[in-house]
Amino acid sequence: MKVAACFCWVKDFCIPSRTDAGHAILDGVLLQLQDFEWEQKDVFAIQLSFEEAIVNAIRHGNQSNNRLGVRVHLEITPERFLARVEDEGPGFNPDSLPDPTLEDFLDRPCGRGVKLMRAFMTSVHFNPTGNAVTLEKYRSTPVPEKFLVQEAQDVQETPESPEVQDAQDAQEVQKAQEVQEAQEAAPPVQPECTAQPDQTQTEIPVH
Amino acid sequence: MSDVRHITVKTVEDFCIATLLDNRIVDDMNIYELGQELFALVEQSGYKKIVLNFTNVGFLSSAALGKLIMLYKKVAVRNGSLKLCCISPDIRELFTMMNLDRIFTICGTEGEAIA
Repeated sequence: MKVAACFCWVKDFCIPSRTDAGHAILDGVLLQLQDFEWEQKDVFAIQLSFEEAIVNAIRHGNQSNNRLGVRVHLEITPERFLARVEDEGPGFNPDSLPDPTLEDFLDRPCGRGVKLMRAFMTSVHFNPTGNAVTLEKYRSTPVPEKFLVQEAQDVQETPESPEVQDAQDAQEVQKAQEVQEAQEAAPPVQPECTAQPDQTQTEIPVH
Repeated sequence: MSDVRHITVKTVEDFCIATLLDNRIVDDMNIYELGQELFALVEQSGYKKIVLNFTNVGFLSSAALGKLIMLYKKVAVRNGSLKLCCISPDIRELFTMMNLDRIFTICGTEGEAIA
């Protein structure tokens, strides 16, 4: 079983360097996660990490300069959240940040954003310049069945016990003989077509 | 600064119990105002034993954590105590992952905090 391709929400934004603009995007993300029935724990993790990425881009990347924009790319399915946040600043080296969980830095009032993202996301990736971050989170609980479709390669026969298998073999031989006799008397039946899942991504309207 | 209050305050014995009112503590102005109200408990009202009740809080950003840490420092300088209580499991995990449970005393209920 796999997530049906129609359940994919893709959005691109370019916002000014204002946190209220970022929060508007976050509101849409939360609604979409709710529609795809993500668990509260995962929603909290995504909300926290996405908030940090947006605020970092605005405050640190663009220095809160309203003339500079923040580009946001979002992909949400019932199984996976992906966000790419890019600012117009010079970038930075995320590996140069001190670890805020160490004793010497615990009582610092700031500097936790990147650590938070790495702690709560499945993966966090910065581009070489350091002005874009990609966050990815996979659902921690099974995807509800309503969002799944059967994959063609998932259809397999269940193995039977030897006695049942022998009986089935005998039945199949007899049935094959009957079918052959019937075919000789009547035209062949056309096999049913197997419908293929729709592979195109459909954008679900924003709430 | 707006007229909106971000905490309600009550005293039990010599404890000041401040209940945070906002469900989402993310907005810059809200975080600043919340900080000012909390700092006033220490710097103006002179409370030395403070309990923060997080019953209403469903989400907070790292900037809000920063304000809590600043409050912790102001209380510590005055040899006071700061405890947090009624924290949701998600926020509790946040504190744990950031090792902030090594700074803050976290209690399940107000009763535990003032015991």
